[in-house]
Amino acid sequence: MFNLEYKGHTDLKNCDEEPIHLLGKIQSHGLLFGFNRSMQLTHFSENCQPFFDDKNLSPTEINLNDFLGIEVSKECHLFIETKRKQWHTNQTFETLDRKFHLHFSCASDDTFILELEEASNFPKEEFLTKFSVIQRFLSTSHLFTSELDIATSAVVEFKNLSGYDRVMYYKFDYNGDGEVLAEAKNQGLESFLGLRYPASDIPSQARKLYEKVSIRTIADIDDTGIPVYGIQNDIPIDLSYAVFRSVSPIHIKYLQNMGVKATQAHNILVENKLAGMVICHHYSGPKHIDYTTKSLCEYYLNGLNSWILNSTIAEKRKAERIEQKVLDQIRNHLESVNLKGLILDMWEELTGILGLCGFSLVEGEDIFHYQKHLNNRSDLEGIISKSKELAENEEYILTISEKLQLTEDDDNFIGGVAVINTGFMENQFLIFYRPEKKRTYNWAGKPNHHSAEKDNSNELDKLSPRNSFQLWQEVVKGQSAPWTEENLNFLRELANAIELNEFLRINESQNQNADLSESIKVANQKKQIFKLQERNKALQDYIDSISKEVREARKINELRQLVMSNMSHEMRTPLNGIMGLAKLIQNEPDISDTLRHYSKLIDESGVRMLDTFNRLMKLDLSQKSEDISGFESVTLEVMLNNLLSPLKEVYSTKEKTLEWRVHNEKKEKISNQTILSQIILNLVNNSERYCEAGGHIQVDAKVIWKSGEKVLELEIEDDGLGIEPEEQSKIFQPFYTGKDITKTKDEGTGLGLYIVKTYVNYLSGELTLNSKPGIGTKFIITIPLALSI
Amino acid sequence: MKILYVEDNQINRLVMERSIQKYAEIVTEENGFKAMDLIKENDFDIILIDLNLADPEIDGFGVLDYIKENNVPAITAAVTAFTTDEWKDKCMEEGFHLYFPKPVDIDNMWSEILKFKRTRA
Repeated sequence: MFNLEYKGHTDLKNCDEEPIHLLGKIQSHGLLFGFNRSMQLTHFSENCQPFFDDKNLSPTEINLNDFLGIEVSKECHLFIETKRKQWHTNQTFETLDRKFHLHFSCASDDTFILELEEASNFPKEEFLTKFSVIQRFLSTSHLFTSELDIATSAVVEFKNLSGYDRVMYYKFDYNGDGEVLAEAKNQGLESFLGLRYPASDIPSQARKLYEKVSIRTIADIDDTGIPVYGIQNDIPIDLSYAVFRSVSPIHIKYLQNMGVKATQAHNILVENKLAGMVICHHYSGPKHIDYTTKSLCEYYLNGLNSWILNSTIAEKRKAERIEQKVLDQIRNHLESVNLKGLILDMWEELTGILGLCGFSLVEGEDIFHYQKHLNNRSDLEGIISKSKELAENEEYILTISEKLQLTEDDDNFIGGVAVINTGFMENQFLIFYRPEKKRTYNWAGKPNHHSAEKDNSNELDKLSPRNSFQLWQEVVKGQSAPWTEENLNFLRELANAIELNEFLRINESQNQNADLSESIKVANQKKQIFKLQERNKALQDYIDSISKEVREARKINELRQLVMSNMSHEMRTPLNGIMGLAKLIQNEPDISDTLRHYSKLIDESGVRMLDTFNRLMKLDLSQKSEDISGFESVTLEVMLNNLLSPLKEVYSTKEKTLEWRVHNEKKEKISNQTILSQIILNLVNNSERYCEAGGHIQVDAKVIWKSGEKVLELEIEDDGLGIEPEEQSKIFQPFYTGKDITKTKDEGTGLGLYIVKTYVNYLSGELTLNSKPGIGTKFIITIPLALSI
Repeated sequence: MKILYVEDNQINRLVMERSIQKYAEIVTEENGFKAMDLIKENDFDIILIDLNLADPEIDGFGVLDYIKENNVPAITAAVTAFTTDEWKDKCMEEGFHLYFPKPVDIDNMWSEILKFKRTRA
């Protein structure tokens, strides 16, 4: 039997390497059993000895199945089976007139821990009162509008609930520094509100643990702990997930220096990362928080954590939506507007997202500056040459948020720079400037204040994390707000969009008919030039997303083409026979004039059928030659003019008129006109087909806002025959032709409206039909602009 | 002049036979392999081939391959209901001399063939 007490040294330098708990010891108010899958006792804390003595057993003889009784051992087996790291159960264990709550945790694949916590006689009424307070708080949590708002109330409630002298809500910064966002404390205690604690105050392994374990309680700072013994060997058992694990000497020292006697800490997790903590301090003496109160505290904190998580995610989503919208706009306009113009056009949006005060665009030797305050632009030369240098070393995004003193003038100060290398082939950089943000940090701890170095014989006393926790103000100047991970992602996307556009432009000029799959191949080769992994990943993601869209669009297209070409083949073969035989009959010398006339009619019908069919195929083929994701973007007006002018000519020969109008947003660009053209063409053709001579077809296009989305609304109206109510549901079916077909000379294919419906669905649009027999028909289509066109 | 027409559709064979017999002697065959035997045994001046034959083992291109491999001097023409430019290009690439999309106007076809024959000579 071996004592596993930790014998290593710990000082500030190796604080990060130190085990998170004090090996071989637990806090003295808990009891611990270690066991394996066969329920044999492998470890136990010293304070379990009286239980063994009571049964006259040596620890080596103990099998927990017998020792704990059937109910508790069932729970043990259940814990092993469920493979959790931690588990609390409602089951209790009673022995020697004492009642215990059970905590299970996992020490290794084959070693499990059962900790016993003495049950308290918590008055039921008090429990209900406290529970209803929590319930009330949580049920009204939707009324809080900010993290500060909810944290300020939460600490007060939490202090009442837990009874600690001080409760603080920490919020962690992007770099891990923590700030006390809210605090509730006993009168007479010094306030820590607003103080910052450096990231190093919580070592990295503790952070990692707090991402997995929600609560840690130290009941008594001065508790020296209870040793844990191993039965077979002296390898220390991993107590990371154990409830009563002892705490590292460094941390104890840290707390002692603050005069803390007992603490409790809870994590606040957002997307599995430690976003904050609720920390309780007790100064007046040790504090054994009972099982019931601790459970209430956990319940309360879970509710608080949910609120923080939801609101953080909601904010993030909102920001992402805005960013995505701006990126989409940029992508849509990149091809038609030069980069400089586009950045200027989008300046307000970009500033909104990135908090900028200027930019420079470097294109080879050409440098363009846009900087609101900086008068002496030569100051930027340093940054630009540095950017070039870094970009040549394959650096992709360079961000600086400090030490960039460009001018002595305090009011006009650039505090941060982000450089993106956007040039696909050429030497092109986009440099964004961010203004200085002066901040005052209220650090908790001023050097050389209260000294803890009175006892030099004890190494740990010398190595306290800080000598004082009094306010130490630091004014940080010359730095901008930090470039966050989100900012960098946005910049990456922006760079990718610019680069992709450049790439497509170059590729297009090299090969007019370049297939996109070829482009992707080339892009993959180009990618090897940029060896930075991050860049590769971002670029790959973007290409993947595009190629996925194209793949999907192609799949539809391929299927349709397959149907069309099969149909073509299957129609032409018999048509060859029909028309050939008709010709043969005509050329027979010995037939009557009637038969000759009939055979001529057969041939003519064949010719007409072929003509209709060829037109349908041509419509389909025109689709094929243009890539479905067509990057060519034109304005709505140009598109309609190109599309409808030839039709107008044709219709005028049939004494039918066609007119079109773009009501607003004449500059609205349509980047994928292929599908939209098909929709409009099919609808206009359909309208024309059901118009008699003298009829009129009107196309109206306008851009409107509909439920927060920019949508294109198209109306195609005719004064033709109209559609009977009972037919209205059928007309979008494939191969359905209206019953009035006989009234018109030109046969329909029965596919036009089916194609329209399919395409409108594909573009996530809506199609409404408004028709009255004898008066006319109006099709209304709305298509979200941001989405696909 | 002697013509072979390889086509799996009976009516189309009939139409071709009756329409072309005023110009030349015509033999028709529905199966690609049997057509090869006919090519071996006869000296055809013109061979018209449908691309899509009923026997899944061999299509019109298979017959064309046989003609090329054996250096048969006949003029070859694809007569097909595959009418896209891609198919036309494919036919020309594979080595057909002429390409006629269905439905075929046989008088036109014949004059095209004669024109080609003249330029070849």
